[in-house]
Amino acid sequence: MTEFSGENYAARCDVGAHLVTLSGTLRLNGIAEYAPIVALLANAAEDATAMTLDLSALEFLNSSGIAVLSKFVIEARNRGDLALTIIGSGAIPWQGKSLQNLRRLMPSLVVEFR
Amino acid sequence: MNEDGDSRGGLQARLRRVPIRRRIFYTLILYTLAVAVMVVAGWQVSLLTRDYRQDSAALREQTRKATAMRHAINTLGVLGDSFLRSGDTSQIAQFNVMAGEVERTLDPFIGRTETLDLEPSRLHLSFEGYLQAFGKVTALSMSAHELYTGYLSSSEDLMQQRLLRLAEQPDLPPGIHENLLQARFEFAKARTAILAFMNSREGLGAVQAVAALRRVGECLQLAVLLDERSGFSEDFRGAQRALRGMMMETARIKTLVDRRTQTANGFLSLYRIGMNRSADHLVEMVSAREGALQDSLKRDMNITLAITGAGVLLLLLVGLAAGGLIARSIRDPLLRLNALMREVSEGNWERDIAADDGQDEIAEMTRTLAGFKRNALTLREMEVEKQVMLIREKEETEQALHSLDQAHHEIQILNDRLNEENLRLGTELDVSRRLQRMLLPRPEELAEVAPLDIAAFMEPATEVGGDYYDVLADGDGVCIGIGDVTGHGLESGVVMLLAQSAVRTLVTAEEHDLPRLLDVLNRAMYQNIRRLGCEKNLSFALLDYRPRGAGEEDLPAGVAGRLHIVGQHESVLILRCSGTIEELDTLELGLPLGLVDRIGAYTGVAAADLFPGDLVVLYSDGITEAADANGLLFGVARLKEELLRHAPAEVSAIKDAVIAAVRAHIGDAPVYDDMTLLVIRQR
Repeated sequence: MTEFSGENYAARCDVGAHLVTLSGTLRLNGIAEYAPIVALLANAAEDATAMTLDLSALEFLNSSGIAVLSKFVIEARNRGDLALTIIGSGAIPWQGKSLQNLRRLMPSLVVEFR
Repeated sequence: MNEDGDSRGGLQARLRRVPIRRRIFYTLILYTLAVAVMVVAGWQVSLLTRDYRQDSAALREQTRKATAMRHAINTLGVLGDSFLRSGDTSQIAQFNVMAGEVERTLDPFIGRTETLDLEPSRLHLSFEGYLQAFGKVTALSMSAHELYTGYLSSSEDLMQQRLLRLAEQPDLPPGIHENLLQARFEFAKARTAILAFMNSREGLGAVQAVAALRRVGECLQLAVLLDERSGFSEDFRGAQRALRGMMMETARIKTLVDRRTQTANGFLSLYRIGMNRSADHLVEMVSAREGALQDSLKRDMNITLAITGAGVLLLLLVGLAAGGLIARSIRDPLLRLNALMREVSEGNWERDIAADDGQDEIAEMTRTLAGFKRNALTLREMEVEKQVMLIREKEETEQALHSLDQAHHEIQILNDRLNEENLRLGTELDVSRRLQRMLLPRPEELAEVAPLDIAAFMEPATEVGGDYYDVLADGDGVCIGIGDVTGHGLESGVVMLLAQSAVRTLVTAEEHDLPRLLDVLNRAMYQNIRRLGCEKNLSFALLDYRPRGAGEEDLPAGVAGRLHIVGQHESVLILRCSGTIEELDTLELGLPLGLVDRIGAYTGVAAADLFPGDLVVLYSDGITEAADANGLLFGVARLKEELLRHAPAEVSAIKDAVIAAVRAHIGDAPVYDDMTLLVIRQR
């Protein structure tokens, strides 16, 4: 179990359950500041055949964060053996468009809205 | 002396067991008592003096009365004597008045046997006897007077006439005539003597009268002897008889007068003497009694005054002594305590504060002072410890400061480096900001676009952001690009610059196949971003506007121009004149550029016809995702509301209103992202 938090956000990784949860408001400045989250995602995906990313409590993600997420999805698609599920929330504005973009990048991606 | 001091010390020690306030109370009580006693004594003395004055006055009054009585009796005696001497009956009335006066003055003394013995009664008896004797004398005088008056009138004239007639006989023999003249002369003398006797009631007058009468008789006898031969013998004998009668009368009167005189000289004077003696005695008694009473009164008063004065003086002395003792029992320990306090206040901490064994306030103060001293000593010890600690701390601090100085020096070096870095970053920021500004279309370029009114707004966040927009004339039409590079800073600026340059190149090359344009653009960006070594990407949409041309009859009537949209960005809002809003979602029209190398599969083109007056609104996520202090986003719905509210206005006014609403929404919250807004109206 890895867990860390910053101003207004929290990131949590349950390696056993292959579950990564991001919550709060992520407004980190540039890709560089997202490095811990990138590492968290990579760590969770390593040697896993299935993985769930829970964003249902992530109220806001800035464009750098969306780029990070897009990269991760593209890498997962390129790997080919990872069944990725993203849990989102229909009530959060940014998720509608961005999660749909991710599914376009990785057609096998399962997006569940709660 | 020493013993005295000890006894005083013992008394003081006893007094010190009583609290001072009670001691002062006792003193006050003592003084109050002394004052009360003085007042009572003064009152008593005044009462006594008043009684004394009254008694004394009463006594004096009695003496005065006795004196007046004595005086009246004396006057009465004088009046009586005067009357007896003169026989003037007019004096009797005066005598009676004075007798009444004596009676009146005597009256207060009558019956006062308890103080004056029997003297007043005795006096009264003498007085009454005197009055009776005086009455008798008066009565005798009256009857003698009457007798004499009758005798004179009857005999004297006769005798006178006979003698005169005899003496004036012309033919008398010598010798006879001389004897008769002698007899007549002697008779005149006798008469004078009788008158004198009548007036004086003196026996001498009567004796002289009888002697004179006897000489008259002798003269007559001689004349008779000589005249034996004359014829007058009968007359002589008649005269001798008358003379004898006269002599007898005179003797009788003399007897009466003598009896009267006897009475006067006997009883009257006896009573008078008794009366005077009694009165004198009474006066003496009264005055002696007054003197005695006055003396005893004076003595009583003096004794009372002396006792009272001595008592008051004693009480005052006792009060003074007690007051002095109490004052001393307060003053002495107070002075000791004061001296102690002064010493202690001058810092003489070594001074031993002896325990005061009294139980009063001063003893308590002394104990408190001892407590203060203990506390102060403790404090001083603590102070010393504190000083030692302070010195130690100071040393430690100096050491720490020394190491801090070293650290500071190192930090300074680091800081200098950081400053250099900051300068570098600042310069970078400045360059980026200028890049972003430089590449924006100028207002005159916007005005040149004939068929469209365009108002544009772009504001970077605190640092340079990645927003981008461009308006490029393309033949009759115009191409409008809008984009948003992820992140901030110089890299984002460079990516934006690259994007702008590539778009311009493609538009200038008249690439009208929009999916192909986007694909070429994506690949160019993808490769350049990889070369830059950063992981940026950008959302980007291109709007290709063509006004209605001459050969375009297939367009619906009234359409003034047509938009083709390619690339993924925020929604494109179209406000119709009818007041409706169409939201064109660009999600399916592309992907963020630079993310994947080929995006052909994700690209689509959307089209929209514009009628005159229609508004096209483009915005970056900095507008819709502007957050207030609570994190609440401005949102697309709110943007639409603001647009509808200001739709009839000029495009620049609409733009200003929307930006004002966004700023009001943000309030004091930080601005996180660049804001870009384009309002375009079909003429």
